[in-house]
Amino acid sequence: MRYHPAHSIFLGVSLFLSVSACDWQSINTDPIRRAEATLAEQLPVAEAQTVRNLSGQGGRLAGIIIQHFKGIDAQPESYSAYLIDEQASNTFWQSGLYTGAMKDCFLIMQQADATQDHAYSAIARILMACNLGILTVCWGDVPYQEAFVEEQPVYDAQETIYAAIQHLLAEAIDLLAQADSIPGEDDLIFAGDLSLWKKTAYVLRARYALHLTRRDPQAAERALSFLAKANYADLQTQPDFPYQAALNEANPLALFSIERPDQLALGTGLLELLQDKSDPRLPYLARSQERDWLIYDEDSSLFWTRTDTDYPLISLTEIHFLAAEAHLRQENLSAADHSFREGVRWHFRQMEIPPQHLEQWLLHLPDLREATSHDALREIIEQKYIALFAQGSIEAWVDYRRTGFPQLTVPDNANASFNPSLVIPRRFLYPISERTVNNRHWQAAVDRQGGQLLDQHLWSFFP
Amino acid sequence: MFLLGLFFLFSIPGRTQEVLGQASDKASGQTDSLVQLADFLKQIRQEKQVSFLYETGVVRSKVLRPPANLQRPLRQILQDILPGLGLEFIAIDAQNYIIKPEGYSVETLADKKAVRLLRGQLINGVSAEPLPGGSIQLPGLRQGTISDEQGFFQLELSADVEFIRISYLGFKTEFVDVRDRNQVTVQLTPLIAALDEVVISALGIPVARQKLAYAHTERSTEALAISGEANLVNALRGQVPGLWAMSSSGSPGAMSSMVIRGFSSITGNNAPLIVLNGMPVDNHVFGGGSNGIAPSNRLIDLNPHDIASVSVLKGASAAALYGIRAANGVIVLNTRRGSPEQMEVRYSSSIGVQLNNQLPPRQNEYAQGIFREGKAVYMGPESRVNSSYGPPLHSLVYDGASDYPYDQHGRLVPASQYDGQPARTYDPYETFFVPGWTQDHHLQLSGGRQDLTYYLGMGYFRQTGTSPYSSFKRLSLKGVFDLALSDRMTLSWQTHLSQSGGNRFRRGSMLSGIPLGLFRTPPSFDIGNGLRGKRAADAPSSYLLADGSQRAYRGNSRYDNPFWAINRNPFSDAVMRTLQQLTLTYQWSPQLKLTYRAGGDIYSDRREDAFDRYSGTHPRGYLEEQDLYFAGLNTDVLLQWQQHWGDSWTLDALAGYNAFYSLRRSRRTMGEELRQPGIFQMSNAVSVHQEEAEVHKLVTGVFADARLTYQDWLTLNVTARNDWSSSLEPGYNRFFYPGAGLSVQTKQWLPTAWDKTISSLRLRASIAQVGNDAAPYLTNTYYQPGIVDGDYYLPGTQFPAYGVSGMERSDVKGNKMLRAERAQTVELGTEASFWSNRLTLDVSWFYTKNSGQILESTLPAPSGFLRKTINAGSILNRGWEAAATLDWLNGEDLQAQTRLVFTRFNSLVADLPADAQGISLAAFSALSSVVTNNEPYGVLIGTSYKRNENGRRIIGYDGFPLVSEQQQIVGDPNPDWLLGLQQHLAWKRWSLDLALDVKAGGDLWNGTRGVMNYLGISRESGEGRTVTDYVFSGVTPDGEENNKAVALADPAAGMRGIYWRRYGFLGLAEAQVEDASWVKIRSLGIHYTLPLSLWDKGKRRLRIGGMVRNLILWTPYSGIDPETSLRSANEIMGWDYFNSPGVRSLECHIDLVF
Repeated sequence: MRYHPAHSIFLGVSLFLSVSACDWQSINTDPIRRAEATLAEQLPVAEAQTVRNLSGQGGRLAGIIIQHFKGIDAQPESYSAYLIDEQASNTFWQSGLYTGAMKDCFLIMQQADATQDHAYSAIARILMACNLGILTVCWGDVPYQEAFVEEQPVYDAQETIYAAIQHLLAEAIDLLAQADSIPGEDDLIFAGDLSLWKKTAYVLRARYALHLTRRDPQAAERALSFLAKANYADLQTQPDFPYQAALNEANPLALFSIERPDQLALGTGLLELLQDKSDPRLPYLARSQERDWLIYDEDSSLFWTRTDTDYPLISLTEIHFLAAEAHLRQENLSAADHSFREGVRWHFRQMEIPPQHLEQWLLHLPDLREATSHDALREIIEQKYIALFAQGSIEAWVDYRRTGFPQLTVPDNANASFNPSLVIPRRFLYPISERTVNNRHWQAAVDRQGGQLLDQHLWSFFP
Repeated sequence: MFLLGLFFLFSIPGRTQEVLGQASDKASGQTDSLVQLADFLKQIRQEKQVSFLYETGVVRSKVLRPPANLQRPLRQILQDILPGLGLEFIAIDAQNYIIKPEGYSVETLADKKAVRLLRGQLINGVSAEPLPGGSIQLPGLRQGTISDEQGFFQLELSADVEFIRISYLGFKTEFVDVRDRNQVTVQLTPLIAALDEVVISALGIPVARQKLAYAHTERSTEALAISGEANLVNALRGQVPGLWAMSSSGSPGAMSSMVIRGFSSITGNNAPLIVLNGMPVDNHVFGGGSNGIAPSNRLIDLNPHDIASVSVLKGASAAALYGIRAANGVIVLNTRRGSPEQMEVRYSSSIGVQLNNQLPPRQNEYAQGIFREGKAVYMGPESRVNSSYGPPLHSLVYDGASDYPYDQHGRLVPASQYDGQPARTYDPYETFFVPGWTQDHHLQLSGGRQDLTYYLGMGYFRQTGTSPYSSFKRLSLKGVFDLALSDRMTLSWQTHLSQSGGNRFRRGSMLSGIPLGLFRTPPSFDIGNGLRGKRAADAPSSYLLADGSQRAYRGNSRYDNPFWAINRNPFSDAVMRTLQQLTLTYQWSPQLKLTYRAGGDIYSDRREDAFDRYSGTHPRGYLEEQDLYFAGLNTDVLLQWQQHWGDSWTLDALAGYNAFYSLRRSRRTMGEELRQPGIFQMSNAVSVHQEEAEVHKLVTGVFADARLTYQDWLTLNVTARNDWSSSLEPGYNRFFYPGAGLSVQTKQWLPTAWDKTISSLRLRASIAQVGNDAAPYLTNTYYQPGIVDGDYYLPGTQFPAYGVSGMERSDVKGNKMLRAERAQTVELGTEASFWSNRLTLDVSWFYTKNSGQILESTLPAPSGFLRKTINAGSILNRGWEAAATLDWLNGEDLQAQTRLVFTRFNSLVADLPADAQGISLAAFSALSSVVTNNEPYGVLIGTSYKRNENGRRIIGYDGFPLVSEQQQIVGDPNPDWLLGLQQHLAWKRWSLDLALDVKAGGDLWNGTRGVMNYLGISRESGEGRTVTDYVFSGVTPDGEENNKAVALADPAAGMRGIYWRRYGFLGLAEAQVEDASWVKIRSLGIHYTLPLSLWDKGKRRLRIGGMVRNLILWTPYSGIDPETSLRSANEIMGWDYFNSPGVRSLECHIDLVF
C-alpha cells in the first residue's frame, strides 16, 4: 500500500470515533436529572406534597362526602351524588400518596438513617405517619410493610397500619431528641424548630389514638397522655404550610376556585348547621349566590380561598377539640368544656373573625359541664366539624364515622351504583390501578374486608 | 455493474445484446418493412445459434430491408447486407462473428507484450450523446488522456494493462476491462438521471435495479407536484407503494407524517429515517399534543426544489445498512447536482390561493340559550350559557340599546315583547376565515467544469393561512459542490442553511383554540362585531370589551373569541438550521474505493407562546418561551470492493463503519400570571420557572454488504450489521442482525413465443432482521425537580418554589435489563415489464414481526413507581403493495401515461403480557387509542352502546339507547388500503397531470360533532330538534323490538330531555366514530412549455401552468377534511377534535430554464 495523506485521515478519524464510543455509560446518563438528591432538596417536596394531600383532591372528596362542600357542576356534582368510582381517587392514591409524599418520605428516611441525619429521619417519619393516616381512614387496609420495596406489595390490615403510625411517631420523637444538626429553610413548616416538630408528633399521636375510640378502650387516656407531653395548652404555633400568592405556590382550594369556578358550594350539612344556629362564621366561609353559598369570592375576600392562606398539618383548633373529646371520655367535664371553648376560640382567631363575634358566640354555646355526655360529644364534634371546614375534612369524616356526628342526610340525587345501601360513604373504592396491576393483593384485601363499596365499614370505625 | 459498456470485440453474453436490441428498437419507433440491424442480428442469432460481436455505435441507427430467405448460409446473408451499410464481418469461427466498419483493422492479439493502441469513445448511457472532456486513466500511473469533442480517445498502453478508469463528473466512474481489447465504447451512467436502470440504494451508492433483492421506489421531484408545497412529505402522498404519507391539517407549516409498511413499534418511533445525500436529516416533531398548535415536522426546512429524486427503501432488508434508525424504512433524498456540460440558471415561482375545503355543518336557525320551564329560552352572552338550544332567531328582535357590548343592534328580546329590528343570523365561518396565500420562489444555478461541478439553490416560501395572521415562511440556501482533487480522489461538499417558522394558532381540546371557539359560536352572536375577516382581526372592537376583558359569546371568558385568540394568544416559532457534509472518496485501485463522510445537522427552534389576561385557558395570563436545540453528527467510513471472476461472476462488496451522535436539548421558561395585560415579556409575569431537558445518544455500527451476481440474471445479496447503542446498558447494547436476498431474472426460462409480451420478469425474495433501540435514559432511575400533584383537576406546584429548590425521585423505574426490539422481515416480490416496457409492474408482499417491544408497563403506586420500561409484546405486519405504469401512447406529439400505486398493510398486536394489556397510546375522556392483543395497532376504545348477544342495541324503556358499562373498541383508524393514481397526458407542448388519491376504510372519531351536537350548534341537532316521533332501532331490555317513539329535544323535559346531551359532553364515542374513507382529486395541473431557443436542443425553456389541489373531496365523513390528525406522533391516528380544517388551493407557476 502506497502512502497517501488520505490514509492517515481515515485512520485518525476512525480511531477517534472508536475510542470516544467506548464511554457508553456517561453518554447514557441524563445530564439534567441526577442520580441522587440531598436531604435538604427532598424535604420541601415531601412537606408540600403531604399538605397537598390534605388540602387537594382527597380533602375535597372527603369534604364532599362529609358535606363541607357540595358539587354544583362538572365532576364535583357527580361526586356529590356518590358517583365516586375507582377512577375518582386514582391520581390521589398514585401521585399524591404513594409515589408522591410517601415515596419522598421513604427515601428521606432511608437516606437520613444511613447518614445519621436524625432531624430529617424524624420529620420524614412524622410526614409518613400523616400520609398513612390519610390512607387508612380512606381505604382501610393498604400496602405499607412491603411498599417501596416490592414491585407488587401486599396490603396490611388496618390495625397494623395504626400500629405503624404510632410506631413512626414514637421513633420520630426519639430521633428528635438525638438530632444534632437541624434543617434550615428547607423545612417549610417549622424552619428547623425541632421542639415544635416534637410537639406536633405528640399531638398527632393523640389524634390517631382517638381515631380508635371504637376499638381501643384506652384511646382517650392515651390521647390525653400524648397531649400532655405536647404541652398542648401552651401551643401557640400550628404546623402551617406557607402558601403564597403566586399560582404555582397557591393554596389548592384557592387554585381550584380560580381554575374551576362555580363548581363547589358550601355543603348542605355544614350550611344547615351554621344557619340553624345563626353562626357568625357563615359569611366568612362562603358567599351567597342564588340558591347556593359558593366557597369562593371573585375579590378573594373569603379566608380559605385566598391563594396565600396557610394550611396546617394539624390545626390548633383541632388539637383543642381532640383534648375536649378525650377529657369528656375521661369524664373530666370542666376540662372538656374549657378545651371545647378553646377550640372555638382558636378557630375564630385563625379565620381572623372580629373578636366581638367570638365573645357573643361563646355565650351562645352550651356549657358542657351541664350537658349529658351524648349531647356534650355532639356539641364538641359539631363545633369541630365547623372548624375543620377546608382544613380537616378528612378528620371530620373520621369523626362522623366513629361518633355519628354531626347528623347528615343523604342527598336526594344519591346514586346507588357504588353505595347500594345509600349511606354517607364510609370509604373510597380502591383505585383502578390497583385492581389492574396489583390484582392479587388487591383481591385479598377486598376479600378480607368483605368488599370495597362506599357503604362498606372500615375496621377502625365499625360500631 | 450493469451497462459496463464493453462491447467491442468481446464475447458478449447473449442477453446483453438483447437488451441493446430493445433499446434501439424503442428509439426508432415503427418502420414498415425496414428493420433495425440490431434486431435483425438478434433474430439471426436466435435462429442460427450464433453470436455477433460488435460495437454498439456501429450498428446503431442502421436499418435494412431483411432478405427474404434466411435459410441460406449465414456468410452469404451477411455478405448481402453488410456492405450496403458500410460494414464488413470477420468470422472467428462457425459460431462467432465480428461486425465492424469497412476498413477497420482488427489486430490479432497474439503478441500480448507489445505496446498497443486503445481506441474508444465515451457516450452518455442514457441520451447516447458523446461525452467530451472525459478522463481516461491508467490506474497507478499518472498517465491518461481526455476524450475529444465527439467523445473519442486513444491511449497507448502496454499489453498487460488490465483496466482503465473512466471518469466524468456527474456520471458513475467505470473501470473497463481492456484485456485482449483495443477498442472500447464506454457508456457512462449518469448518477441521477438513470432512474430506470440504476437506483441510489442505501448509503447513496448507485446499484443496478436488477440487482436489488427488495422493493425500491424512486420518484424524481419532476414527477411530484412540489411547486407551492412547503413540505416534501405532502408531495409523496399517493406516490410510493407501501408509504402512507399524511398531512395533519391545512394550517401553514402544520406537520405531516409518514409510515412505511405499517406501525412497528408500540411506544417507540414509527417514522422512517430520512437521508439526504448519505446524511441523516432530522424529521422530528417537537410537541403537538391534542391541545396546542400543530408544529412542523422538521423536513419542512428543506426546499423541495433542491431535491432531484426521492428513493424509498422499505423494511428491514432494505435498511440493514442504515442500522437501527432505519428499522421503519428509509427515505433517501438526492439533491440536484451540477453537470459540467452546461451552466444552467433556473427560476421557478408559484403563487397560490387557498380556501377551506370542508367545515363541520352548522345550524343557523336557533339562538344561544337553553330549555327552561318547558320552552326554549334565549340566554345572551352575559349568561355565559354555552349551548344554542335557544328559540328560533326569527322569533327574536333587537332592543336597539346602543350601549350593549355584545351586539351593535342591542340585546335580543322576544319579538312578542318588542317591536324592533329582527335578529340577524351570523355565520362565524364567513366572518372569520380569509383566503390564504402561498408564494414559492426558487432560483438555482448549476454547472461546472470537468473537475468541479456546482449546484446552488435559493428558495423563499411563504404561506398565510385561512385564519388571519397565521403564516409560515422559509428561506433556504443550498449548495452542492463536487470536486475532483486528483484522478483518485474526489471531494464533495453539501451545505444547507435555512430559516423557517411562522405564527400558529391552537386547535384541539383547548379553550383558546381557533376551531373550538369558532365552531361553537351560536348564530346569534357576531364574533366580528360588524366586521369580517382581516378587518375584524385588526379591530379590537371585535374581541375587546371596554374594561379590557374579552368579548366572546360566553361573556368575557371560557371559550375564546377566535379574533381574541389570534390577537391575544400569539404563538410563533423560528427555526435556524444548517446541514453540512463533506464526502471524500479515494479510489485505491480499480476494485477498491474508500469513502469517508462526515456531516452535521444542527438547528435551533425558538418558540414564544402567550396567553393574555382574560383568555379562556389562563384567565390570569401566561407566557412561555421555549428554546430547542438539536445536533446530529454523522460519520461513515465505507470500503467498496468490486471483483469479476471470468465473464460470469461479479462481486460488489462493501464494508463500513458508522457513528451517529445526537443531542436534543430544550429549555422552557414559563411565566405565570401577567401583571399588565398585553405585555408579553417575562418581566411582566408574577412567577417564572424553568424546565430543562437534554438527551444525548450515540449509535455506532459496523456493517458489510456483499452482492454476488451471476451473468446479470442472478444476484445474491448478503448483509450483516452490528450496532452499539448508548441507550442500553453494556452487555445488552450491542446487537447483530443479518439479512439475505435473492433476485432472479426468469425471462430466459420462459418460452420464446412470450418474448413479444413479456420483456422482463424478475423475482426477488429477501429475509432480514433489524433492531430498534430504546430512548435514552430508561435504564437508570433519576431524581428531578419536584412536582407537587396528586390532584387530577389542578396544575401541580413545580419546584423550585417557596424560595427553595426541591427534588424527588422520578416515578419511572430504570431497567438495566432493557434490550433492543427486533424486527424480522420476509419480502417476496416481482418486477415485470410487458410489451417492450409499455407496462411495468412491481408487486411486493411482506411480513414483518417486531418482537420484544420496548414499552412502558404500569406498576402499582405502592411500589414507589408508576412505570417501568420493559421488553414485551409484538406487532405483526403483513401487507402487499404494487405500482404499475402504463404508457398508453408514446407518439411524438401525444403521450399518455398512467401510474397506479397500491398499498395495503395490517399491523396486528400480539404477545402482550397481562399487565401490559390495553396500553394506552393517548387518551381523551370518551376515547383512547390503545394497543391490545389480536387487534390492529392503535384501535379506538370508547364509550359505546349497550348491545345484546346478537349485537343489537338495547333501547331503554324510555325509548333511548342504553350505554355499555365498559368502554369498547369502537373503531380502527388503520386504512384498509390506499390507492394513488397519476395520469399524465402530453400533447405537443401541452401537458395535463391529474393525481387521484383513494383511502379506503380507516375510522375517525368526530369528537367535534359530538360536542357540536351537545351544544346544539351542529346542523344535525338543529334539524333534528323538531323531530317528535323518532324510533331508535334496537330491542328493549326484554328483548322486544323497540317501537317507542320519542322526541329528540322536548323543551318540556328541559335540557335533560335533549337526545344529544344524554351521553355527556362528547356524546357516545361509538356514535361519533365515522368512516373516513376518501377519494380526492389531489391535484390537477396543466402546463405549457415554450422553448426559448431551438439550437441547444430545447434546454432553454419556459414552462407555465396552473394547478388545483384538493379540487374535489368525496367522503362519507361529516366533519372537516378527514385527512387530519390531532396528534403529532403518527402513532396516534383517528382523532378529530376541533382540529384545523384542510384546504384546497389554486396556483399558477412558471419555470424558466436558461
